[in-house]
Amino acid sequence: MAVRPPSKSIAEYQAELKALGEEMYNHSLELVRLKRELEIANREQESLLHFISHEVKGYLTKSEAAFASITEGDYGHIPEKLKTMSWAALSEVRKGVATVMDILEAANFKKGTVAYAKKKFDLRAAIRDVVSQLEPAATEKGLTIELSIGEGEFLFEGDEDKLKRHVLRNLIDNAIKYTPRGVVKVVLTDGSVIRFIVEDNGIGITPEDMKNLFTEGGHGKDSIKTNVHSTGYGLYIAKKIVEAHGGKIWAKSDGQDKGARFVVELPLT
Amino acid sequence: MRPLDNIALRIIKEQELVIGPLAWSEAQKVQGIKVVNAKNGDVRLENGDPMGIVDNLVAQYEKLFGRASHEVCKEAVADLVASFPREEIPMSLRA
Repeated sequence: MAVRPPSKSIAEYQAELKALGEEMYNHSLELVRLKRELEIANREQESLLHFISHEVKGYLTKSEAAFASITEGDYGHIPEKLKTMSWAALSEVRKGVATVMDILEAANFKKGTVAYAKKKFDLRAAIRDVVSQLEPAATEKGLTIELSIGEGEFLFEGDEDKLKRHVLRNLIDNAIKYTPRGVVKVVLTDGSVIRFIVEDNGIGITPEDMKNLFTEGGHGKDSIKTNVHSTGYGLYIAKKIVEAHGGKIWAKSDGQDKGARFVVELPLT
Repeated sequence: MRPLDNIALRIIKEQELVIGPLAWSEAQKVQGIKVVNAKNGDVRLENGDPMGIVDNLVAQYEKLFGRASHEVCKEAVADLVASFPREEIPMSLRA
């Protein structure tokens, strides 16, 4: 076999290698600079978000207090019509406060500044409590909540308030919001792990939406149509909290209009 | 840590951001640089001409990665050398 002589001299190869090294370096340097710019932009965005959220929360909280005073009769007897209006306004303002709190909470999770107050509590009682709070909303839509709780002991060591508000309540509330008619099943079982399941026969989740489901601001493509108040932070926060308790959360759906099943697994404590 | 040790460390760390661990192995090829502990950032310049060693360090990167790497070295230490008298700044890092 004939060996062909190299087409370039060693010096030429060396020059080529140096040029490649420089090119690689310049690309890498550009990435470092972009990363720095992105970090600065993120910090600025976070700080602006925090500022706006705090300001808005302040205004909403004042409105909430005013409507609560009117509704509770602090200003004396009020006509029935005004009372109804005041209740509705109070309820809307509270939703506003909850939305702002979600956004603030998500920002705190991102920064890693969330503290957990862990103590033993009864998960059964927590779920019953959440279901009883949400039942009126379900009934109003003509939905039924079917609650099924296993025989075991469901004492769990964790942050009861965060698990109730952001995980249990959020999943059941979502199921109610995204199910036009039918049944929402809420199941609690134990075994080697504690399992909390929320299953509905609602609008389902497309494979495309499934990818972003637990991400920050991860709205479903059409979820705003069904739930105009969706912040896109609910499931992101839920995931962070479940993981902080050593658990897992996931969802399954056969697609659009095929319902959804959310499962939370928590370790026995 | 002496000021020029600190300058060498700053340069290596900045280069590490761009080229990764290669920054440390290239620094170790420069005579007079002793990396005591890369993890803790302990670098010492060990002969009588620390300014010359820093110049050689800058040249080592420039030899491989070109002019852009030289600029990175200068930017990395700009705040440190700002308070130095001009004659105490290694030639390669002067404005």
